[in-house]
Parts: sequence; structure tokens; C-alpha cells
Amino acid sequence: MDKQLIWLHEKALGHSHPILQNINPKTKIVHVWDEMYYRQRSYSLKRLVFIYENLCELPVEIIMGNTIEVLRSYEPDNIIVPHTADTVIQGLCDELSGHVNLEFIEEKKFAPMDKGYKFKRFFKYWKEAKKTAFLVNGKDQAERK
Amino acid sequence: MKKLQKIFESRDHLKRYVLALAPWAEGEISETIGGFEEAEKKLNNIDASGYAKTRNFGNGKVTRLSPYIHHGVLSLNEIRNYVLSQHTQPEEITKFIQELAWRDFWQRVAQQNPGWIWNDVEPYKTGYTAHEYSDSLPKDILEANTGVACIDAFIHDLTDTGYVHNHARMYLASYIIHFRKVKWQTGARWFLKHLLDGDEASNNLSWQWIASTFSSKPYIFNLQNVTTYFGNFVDTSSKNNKILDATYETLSNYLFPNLEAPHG
Repeated sequence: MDKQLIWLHEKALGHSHPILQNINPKTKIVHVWDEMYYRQRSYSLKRLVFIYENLCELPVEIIMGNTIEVLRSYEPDNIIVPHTADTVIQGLCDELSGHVNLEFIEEKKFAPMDKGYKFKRFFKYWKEAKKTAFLVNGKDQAERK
Repeated sequence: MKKLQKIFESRDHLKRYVLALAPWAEGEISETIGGFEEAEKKLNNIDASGYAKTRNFGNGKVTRLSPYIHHGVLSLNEIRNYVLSQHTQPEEITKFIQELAWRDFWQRVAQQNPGWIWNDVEPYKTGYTAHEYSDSLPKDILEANTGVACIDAFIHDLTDTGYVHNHARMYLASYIIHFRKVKWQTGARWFLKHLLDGDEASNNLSWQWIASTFSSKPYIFNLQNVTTYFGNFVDTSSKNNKILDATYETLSNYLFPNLEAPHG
């Protein structure tokens, strides 16, 4: 069986994130406390403490070190990563993908939109989004059944 | 590889531990506490219909959920589902749901256009080119000593608490870009340092909207507007906010002298 590792970065610190559902008990879940990463982002102490408080509640090991080096040290066959639009984390993923397979797990979309939809002006987006925005999970009753 | 501690006697112990991990980190901790329990308390306190009526005011019924959303402690779906379970009339909660949609929208714009996060989407529509704006924040802004009382109060909110009301963020961004001629990127970076909910997509694209590099005109405000929404919370006296005490037409002519048509 493939050796999997979950990399829980700072943009996905919730119990209910799909990445933490139905996981193999042998799968390690890691947050890398990467000083260079946080320093690059110039986060104030307020932000760092808030992030740490969230981490303390999660079933995750907090490992200090360089993100790429720490994740590679587990020698995983693939790393599962919560999807994010954040460019700094995407940069790390690009670097990581040169060494190991990555699988991205995305949360349910707030508003399903047609593939190829161009996101630029909010009210044009809202005209479409409001069709499902007032439905539980963005789905109608029939679909939920 | 060092495995870090997760159990602490108190918040102060945790703070000292984090400070030892990041001795370069500036400032103090926020009153906003991380974790699901705190997020859930705020979720249970949502007043979605009150939000619609009061969100623009300094004491409006805003949720303070944004740091938890940004770090994924709560998802937009969880919040939407909770609010739907509490209301039967969708029109009462339209503004609230729309606010969640803004977050979704910014994320999806960023996902589709990662290059827009730090680069001008369009040229400034202020009569100035990007090169005419400064790359650094003036010292008086960093020290909350601008001489504009309401702006100084909002800067204190940012640096002391990590939270600034959304409307005040717009004032602050507009002041930095248009009154002080600082590049939106410089201001956006400063917000990301301090805001607990600081999110590249929402933050930077909103700064671009204020700047006019992602909108059709620059966003400006005057003292009368600040007084209407924040008059009971910050000093909005004319004598302590002189530069803002003018009509939109006067401000527009002063701020954008190269433009032909007035902006408001």
C-alpha cells in the first residue's frame, strides 16, 4: 500500500475539512512549523499565536523545520494537501511536486459554477451564485436526497 | 526534526512558547482566541438579519468569524448551513450570504488568476501611473501618528488587535493609496502582517479595488462618511481630521488633479 502523508498547512485548520475525514489510521498528519515560511510572510505574533492555538486542537503533529525537507524526510509515496489559492503555499507545492506525488483535496464549493466561468466582476458572479447560495451545501433538496 | 508541544497550562505559556519559536515576531497577542470552540461561539452569536441592517457601522452586528474562515476552522458551507437553519426568510439574510459569497469569489478569482495577487490587474485610473506611488509606508502611518485622528484609531485597531472593521479597512486603504500616494501592494503587505484574517486573495484584490487597478474608479471617502458610521467610536472632529473634511468633489479635485471628471 502507498505510504501517504497529510500535510496540513495553515489554511486548513478545521476538524471538518474533508482531508481529515475517513483517513487511514496509519496516515501521518503533519503541520510543519517552518520559521522561514512564517518569517517570509512577516506574520506578527498575533497571527502566529492564533495559528498555533488552532493547531493545538487538531490531530496533527507539529514539526519544526524546513517544509520541503520535513515532508520529504517521511519518504511518502504521495502527500495529500488541502487545496488553497494561496500563492506562497502553491509555490511550495510546485517545489514539492518535483520530488513526490501530490494529491489536492478541495472543500465543497460554496457556489457551483460552470467550468470555464471567468471570475472577474462580483455582481456578474453573484447573478449565477445566488441561484444556489441559499441552499444547504449549495444543493437543492432533490439533489441532497 | 523537532516535535513541538501542543498542551499548555495557559494562553500566556503558549504565547511565550510561540515567541521562542519566532523571536522576530512583532507585537502582542490578540484578544481573539483560536480554536473550534471559540469559532463555534461566534457562529452561535450570528445575527444575520441584524448584519444586513448594521454591518457598515462601527458597532454593527458583524460576526468576527473571518479569522476562523481564513484558516479553515469553519468552512463557508458550515456557516451558510447554520444560518439557513436559523432563518426561513431568505431575504432577511441576503446580505449575509452575499458576504460569504464575496469570500468565495475572491478565492476563485485568485485561483484562476494567481498573477493578479501582487500585480496591477489594470492601470490606476487616478491620473497617475504606478511608478508615481511610493514603495514604502511613511513612518507616521506605521506609528499611528498621521495627525488624522480617525485614521490613527483604525491603525491602532490593526496593529493592536489584528481586527479592523471592513468599512474602516476601506478608509485606511484609501487614505494610504490616495491621500499618501503609497502603492497598494505596500499597504496590502502591511495588512497581511497584522490582520488575523489576512488573506492574500480577499485582501489584495480589495486593495486593488480601492486603488482602481481592479475597478473603474478610485474609492475615496470624506469625514462626513466616517462620522456617519464611526462617529460614536473614534474622534471625527473637524479639527483633528482636517484633510478629510471636504466634499467629494473638492477631495477628488485635490487628490486626482490630472483627471478631467470628478470621482466620488
